Amino acid sequence: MSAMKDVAKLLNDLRASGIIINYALFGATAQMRYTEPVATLDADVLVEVPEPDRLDFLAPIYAFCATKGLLPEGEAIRVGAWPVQFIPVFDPLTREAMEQADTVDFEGESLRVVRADHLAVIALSTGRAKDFVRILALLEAGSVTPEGIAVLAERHGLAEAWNRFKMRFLSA
Amino acid sequence: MLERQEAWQASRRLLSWPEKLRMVEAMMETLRAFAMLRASSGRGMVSRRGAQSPATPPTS
Repeated sequence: MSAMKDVAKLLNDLRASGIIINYALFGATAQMRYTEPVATLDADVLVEVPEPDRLDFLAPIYAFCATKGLLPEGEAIRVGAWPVQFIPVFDPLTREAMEQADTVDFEGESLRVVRADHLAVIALSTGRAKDFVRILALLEAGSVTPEGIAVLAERHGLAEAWNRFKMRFLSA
Repeated sequence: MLERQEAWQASRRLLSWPEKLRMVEAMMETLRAFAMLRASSGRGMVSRRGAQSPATPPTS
């Protein structure tokens, strides 16, 4: 059994308790749903919290985890093998990615996971070398198409970034 | 060589998502074990060094 099932259970419990409104797994752990395995050291989770303007908006999550015996490790909460990082939705793109995430059955536990096209466009928006590698991996796996990315990128004001990416990596 | 690598990558893509995550979990556990081993052997080296001689040579 993967420790991700325990992560899924924790996230569902957090949502059922009202400590978070919604969540979706993203980053490398979500990418692996679509591509070959990639190295990562944590599991990133987009969350919507009831009071995002609080300075300590993650405190209720940490307190809930502590009641389950799950303690902070750096900026993450360790769940089995996974340090889990909670990242509040921070713009319309990440909010849409979280809201439109797929709900999948993960070894008997439901788990929300960001779609491949949103993963690609979030990577485009952050624009680091490893993000470009993620976009290429998703394209190579056939999980997204250039046309699909273009539509989503355009909608989120990233058309120019997508054109630059295409020129740099996809032009023959 | 490239063909073999492509075939290997393709076979890894065919793994289920939980199987891929378990691979990464195993990698993380190995890294943690290695870090703990290195930390404990580092502590041993410090104590041995401390027992041998002062860190700075005498000035006179």
